Amino acid sequence: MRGLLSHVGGITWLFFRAARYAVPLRLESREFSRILLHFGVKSLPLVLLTAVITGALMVLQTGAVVELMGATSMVGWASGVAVLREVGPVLIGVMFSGQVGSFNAAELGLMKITEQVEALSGLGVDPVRFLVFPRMLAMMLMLAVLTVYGDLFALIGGSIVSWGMFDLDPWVFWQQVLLPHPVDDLLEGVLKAVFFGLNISVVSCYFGLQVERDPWEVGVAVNRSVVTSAMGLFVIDYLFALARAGA
Amino acid sequence: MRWLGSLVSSAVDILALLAETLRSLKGVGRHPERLLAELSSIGTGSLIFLFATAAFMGVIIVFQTATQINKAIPDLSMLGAGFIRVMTAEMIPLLTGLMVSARVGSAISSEVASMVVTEQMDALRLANTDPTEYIVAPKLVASLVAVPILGLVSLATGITAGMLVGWIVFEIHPSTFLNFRYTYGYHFLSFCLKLLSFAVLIPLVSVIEGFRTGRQGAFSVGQAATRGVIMSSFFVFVADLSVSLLERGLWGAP
Repeated sequence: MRGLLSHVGGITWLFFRAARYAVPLRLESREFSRILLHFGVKSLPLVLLTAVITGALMVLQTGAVVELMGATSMVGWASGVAVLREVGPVLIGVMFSGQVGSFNAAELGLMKITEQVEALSGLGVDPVRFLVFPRMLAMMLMLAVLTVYGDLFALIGGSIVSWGMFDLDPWVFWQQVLLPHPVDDLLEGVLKAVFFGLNISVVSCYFGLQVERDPWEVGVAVNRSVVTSAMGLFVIDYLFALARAGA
Repeated sequence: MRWLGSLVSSAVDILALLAETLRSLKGVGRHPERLLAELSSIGTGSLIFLFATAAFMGVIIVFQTATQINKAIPDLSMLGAGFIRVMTAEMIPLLTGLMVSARVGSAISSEVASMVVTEQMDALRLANTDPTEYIVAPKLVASLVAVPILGLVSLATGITAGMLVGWIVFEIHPSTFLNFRYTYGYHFLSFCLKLLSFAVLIPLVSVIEGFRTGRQGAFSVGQAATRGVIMSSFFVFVADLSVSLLERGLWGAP
């Protein structure tokens, strides 16, 4: 319990130390673009593939329930709302944390072991400014963009399944998705994704920088980073649901 | 397209490792302490994590669907029935699989990778112990025992949490909420089938990613952990979709 609290405190502290560089903006643009290219593009194929599967699953399950309640005409609407608002961002976030968050924790852990982080401090550069802040911004941006792409691919997967399983014409499916103001749902999902990206980046940077000397600690750091970001993801999602019910 | 090739070769490796592990399965009894250690790390170690995530998931889903339904038709009497069915057939198995991949997959991969790097695997072979029998088989048996139990615990937690939200926030009485009308026997069957396939896939995929390290030194341990999470969660998705499609194909009707 004590360990958990100290980690939560450390993560929060790291967030504030990094957020200091947001106003006025002091961004290491080369590191920022390197991370966007290196982490974001690399994670694209697997995220999109899982998004297709997610959309297919959503239509299979929610579609069946909606059909049971006697409203086949709402299959597209129900799965559209579910994918855009809830399942898309969460599952893409989980995959992103497994792929990019854990890779980031391992990379920072290795930099810590090879004393590159200390070298930065020795040069008078704050490692939080040079390493953490660009990652934070990059992952927030990346996850928002990935969520838009992922939603699109999930709905494509959904339209294929609703065509094959419920004999629903893809054209009708897309009409059902697009006609009732999906922009609000999409924007809510993207806003969530920005917070998920913040959570994943700060958590993975924190556990990566926790590594001291021993290379074996890198494996532990990856494990803790994935577990903690998944927990944080659900807490954020819960807060969003609360805010929605209150509004 | 390189990643597609690597996915196919992973699938082949899984089958090969599965065959080898099944052959050395009777050796598990020779190392009961290994089995107990794995049970505690895969099962007991993941319990609180799954408990928390399943509770959050139940709460979130009820919140979201209830507000959506309230907008269209303010009748929440069938919410529980739909919720329990979706939780049983899809959400809880998928959540359990992904969370176990996150927690256990990375741990197994980095453990195996560090054993490969420090040549402990060779030491085992020198001591005339089969690494598959000593390392992989206990993990497989432990996860076959632990993952279904974890799934059942998550299911109970998620449904209870959803029920409480329905009761407190949306004033749906539990006797209305706990409605199993839409949940059929084959949903529970596919629940079990999904969990069992995850229980086989997650340890095997993570062990394979651990062995892939080669001898590039200690620094590859972190990469192995990363690959363990990604590949096991990917195979969880694939297995989940396969069982869901099979279920729909076999029984057709909703």
